[in-house]
Amino acid sequence: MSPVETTLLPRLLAGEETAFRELIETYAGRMMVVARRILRSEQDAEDAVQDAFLSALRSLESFEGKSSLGTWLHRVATNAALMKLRARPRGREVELGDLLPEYKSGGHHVDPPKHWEDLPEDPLCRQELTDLVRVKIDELPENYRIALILRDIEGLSTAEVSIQLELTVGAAKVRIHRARQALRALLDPHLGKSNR
Amino acid sequence: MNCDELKSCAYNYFESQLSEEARAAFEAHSEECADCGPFVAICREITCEKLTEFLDDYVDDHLPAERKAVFERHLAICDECVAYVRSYRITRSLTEAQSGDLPPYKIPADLLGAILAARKKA
Ligand SMILES: [Zn+2]
Ligand SMILES: [Zn+2]
Repeated sequence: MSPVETTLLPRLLAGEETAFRELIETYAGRMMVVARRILRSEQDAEDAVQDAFLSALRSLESFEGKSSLGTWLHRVATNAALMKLRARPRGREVELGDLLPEYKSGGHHVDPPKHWEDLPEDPLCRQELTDLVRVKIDELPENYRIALILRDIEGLSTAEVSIQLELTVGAAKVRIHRARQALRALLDPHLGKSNR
Repeated sequence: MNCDELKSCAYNYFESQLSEEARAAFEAHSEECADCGPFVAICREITCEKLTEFLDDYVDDHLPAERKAVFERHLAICDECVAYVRSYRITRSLTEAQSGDLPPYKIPADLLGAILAARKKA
């Protein structure tokens, strides 16, 4: 446990108001990041973070220090955001259609994949690219977007993603793989070199 | 048919686009040539489509050794799949990089107040 945690935890457990305030000020930022990413609405993200802190406080005694407080709160915030997402009217499950690769009868690519250059080193170009990727992730159909975010950004295992999305592990694995392929297709016009 | 001719028409052979005559010449050469025989065997092992289907396991190094060797033999002869694997890896690392640096965040006073108030109520 970090020094912050060793001093903060006992005070939280004793119900000290200033300790709770410190907890919020320290961790709200990173919890907002994940909630925003999942919900794409500032208001909903704030609601989710509020839910997360209250639920964290209720289960504080069950926090065993196996992970850091930050990691644990990140998890709690992810759960709270997903719970909010599930409460929204469910959109149609959209299929990826054109975004998945197509094959000829003999199994070759219909469109030969382009070669992608190395990524730019320059921090400015890098930032532009990061922004582009975020925009493209947001273009994915919701069911694929969430699977990709949970696995590749928030770092959940495939099994954990399957629990969150109420899928079998096999179905979650396929969904994550397809989401990556679809994102690849969305980035291809920007990163692929047209003629080799 | 010689070795270069065989390699240049392998694609059409597997897409069933050769004339019967060319097909027969292709098969005859691949049976008798010590270079082309193994090449054609590798082409038969796995298609680009199948390779792409299990690409996530390959990239995560979750394939059993035998299967992984099949993948790598295919990649050694297929530029298209090499390009696809590369772009898939880059896509993944760009996605992972989204979790990068945290923007500075100061919790709005009303949100902080709302959480503290909700806690008191609870
Ligand atoms: Zn030969
Ligand atoms: Zn291939």
